[in-house]
Amino acid sequence: MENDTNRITLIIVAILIIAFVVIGLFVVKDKLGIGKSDETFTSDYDIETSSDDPQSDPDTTSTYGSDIIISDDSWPDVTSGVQSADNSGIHTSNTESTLSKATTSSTTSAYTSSGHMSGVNFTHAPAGYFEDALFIGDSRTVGLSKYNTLTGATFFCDTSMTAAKVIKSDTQLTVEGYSEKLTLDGVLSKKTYGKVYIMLGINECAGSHSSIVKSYGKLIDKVKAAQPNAIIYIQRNIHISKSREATNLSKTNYQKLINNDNLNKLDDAIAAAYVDNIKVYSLNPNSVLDDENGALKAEYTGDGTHLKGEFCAKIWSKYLWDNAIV
Amino acid sequence: MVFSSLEFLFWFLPFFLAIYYIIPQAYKNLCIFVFSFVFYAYGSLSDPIYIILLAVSVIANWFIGLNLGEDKPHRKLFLIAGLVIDFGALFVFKYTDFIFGNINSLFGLENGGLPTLGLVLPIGISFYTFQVVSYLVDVYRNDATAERSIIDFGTYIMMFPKFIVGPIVRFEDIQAQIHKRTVNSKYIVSGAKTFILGLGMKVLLANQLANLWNDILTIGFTSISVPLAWLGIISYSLQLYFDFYGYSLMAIGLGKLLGFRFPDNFTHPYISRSMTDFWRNWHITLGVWFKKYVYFPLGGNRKGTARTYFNMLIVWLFTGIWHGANWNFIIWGLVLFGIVSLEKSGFGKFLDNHKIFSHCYMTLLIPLTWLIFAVEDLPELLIYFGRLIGIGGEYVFVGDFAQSLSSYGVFIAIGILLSTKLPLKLYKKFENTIFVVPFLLAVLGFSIYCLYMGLNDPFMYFRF
Repeated sequence: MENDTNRITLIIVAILIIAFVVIGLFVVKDKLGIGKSDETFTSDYDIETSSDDPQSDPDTTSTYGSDIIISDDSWPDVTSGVQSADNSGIHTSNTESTLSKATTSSTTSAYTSSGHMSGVNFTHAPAGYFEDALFIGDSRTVGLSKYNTLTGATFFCDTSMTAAKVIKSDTQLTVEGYSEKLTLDGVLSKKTYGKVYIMLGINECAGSHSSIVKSYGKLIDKVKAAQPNAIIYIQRNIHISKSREATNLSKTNYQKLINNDNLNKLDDAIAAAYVDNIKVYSLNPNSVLDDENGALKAEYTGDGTHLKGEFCAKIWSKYLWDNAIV
Repeated sequence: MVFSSLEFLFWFLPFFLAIYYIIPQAYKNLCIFVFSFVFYAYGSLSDPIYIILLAVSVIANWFIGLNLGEDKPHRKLFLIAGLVIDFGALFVFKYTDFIFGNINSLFGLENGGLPTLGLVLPIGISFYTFQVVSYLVDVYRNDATAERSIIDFGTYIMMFPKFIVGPIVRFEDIQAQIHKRTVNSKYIVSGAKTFILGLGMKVLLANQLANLWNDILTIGFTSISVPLAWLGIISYSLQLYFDFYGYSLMAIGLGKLLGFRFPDNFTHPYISRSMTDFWRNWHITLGVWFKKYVYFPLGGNRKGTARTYFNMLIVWLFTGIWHGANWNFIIWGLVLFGIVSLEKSGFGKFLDNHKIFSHCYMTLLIPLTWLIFAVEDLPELLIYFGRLIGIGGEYVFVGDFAQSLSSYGVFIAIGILLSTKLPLKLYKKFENTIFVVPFLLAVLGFSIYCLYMGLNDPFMYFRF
């Protein structure tokens, strides 16, 4: 009798173990099917800062690796508008590089491999070029303002800046070289600028693109009015990294829209509306910053969104030196 | 669902407590059991298979536990089966990619070698595994009796207050409370106070300090100034402490709300005067676990000097690898072993006799060892060490230290103050007076405000 119960318990345990293993294998197989992730597991201390928990609080997760797997085919179309600004199909993975080629061939493929309009002569800037340059931007430009080789440039930028916000009269920022806080009109009236660089949009790209384009219009009008002789460079928004994008795509609807495809669309719309290659030019720093997926190269960024200081100076600044209208 | 989230504070916890307090004594464990399962399931919605895995694991371990008593035949076999299942699961989920990756690079199989599985780590598996193993071993050794009711067993093992990050509560410490505990108003008030203090540490201090470390990662180690490099690891050390300590306090507070007494996890580790002492006061429940289930079974210090050091090496190696599947954690464990060994071989006595020196020694070693812990990429780790002594900087922005100090100096100062014994003494003195109520309400209010603002600011990531 006792032997029987023992045998039964053993059998049950065996079944449980087998069930456990089978489920385990199922999970493994499932994951094998989806694809590869370069990310490794993070430490246990990350758990309490919740990288383990998909419902995590947003302010502590950003630095830690996530285990989410990204699917590569999440770039639907290229653009609606004029010149497809996709420089040489870089921002696409295998599947859509054909797609983007198809789209570009139907319009004029206007961009060269360095990422701007063909027929426009971008050359290396002479020494002192940035002494009368003004940079308007968000946190990315804040990074550039601290880490650059652009001696003499003026920076009007702040974290979370948007095109809608920058033109407001109550947006007052600290600008190096001036003791008081300045509005956009204020900084434009302080000095005569030969060139004004703008990069804005990522902080609002989840919203309506047409209203961003409108804000850009007001911004460009303000610059033109105050600085009639200045060249305006609209820099396409620097992409985010592939893993940052994967994290965003796993978040709420709003956050989902902060992705490279959406950035490309926004930048296309802005370029289509304002780039005339007479006064207003388009620059594409992504042409020197992207990886083969059209995302920001992982090694250039600590948080997937901002360039590390070193690369603000070595790559972004160099790109700006190399691509000037003289 | 972490404790410091609005959904936990405003949805899960109140709903749970309401039912828990209303329900008759006999069903209270069932209530914890069900809600803990929901807690886990909610956190695993993106990988629903894990919910089934947990259920299977709980049933399997409960069943194995029943067969570990002294009167049971095959008890050794059951123990082995249990250990294989529990450690096996931890191993597969946590270490497969690390081991595969190392095999690939060892044999030069970068492409087409062993695949990267990219398994998502089940929530709390490191803590869960250690507790379930403590249960099996305690029952096997007759330190505890097997739990007959699966509800009571499940309550112990899945209890949501300690599920995600501990404390690692051993079964023998809590078995009596599972069966009989009283929840009275004194307990509830004390639990709520502890929880709020923990929440404040996590949200108002650790989360704020985290921004400084994030800034340093954003800038890149190459471009940080020497003073910022030092400020960064000091801030990171405080962040880690208040994050984990805060979370442990929240767990202990929640435990009290339910009528449980969980063991302390931290007792002023940062004022320790030696690394040995530090690890007696940092993550205490983990240290106890390793001592009881690894160090003592290996023979502890009873088998001669050489064997003692070998046993310590094993413990520190496992401590390292438990914290994460990466080489930096192994190096970190080995460094700790080196330091602790040095202290054991006589240096500890010197530290005991030199108070000021010993505090300076630890003030230096604590952030330096956490740096190894913090940076998983080894070349990056070397760059950071270089920056600490002024080697290898490129495009350093000289003003970065002053900027960071003005943004985070207050939090660092509060963190340092809270690392000493003084604030706790002060708090204890006023704990039962009326003065403490507005203080705690303010902490709670500010914490909720910060969480609320965080959730509504999707651009949090875009801070530079």
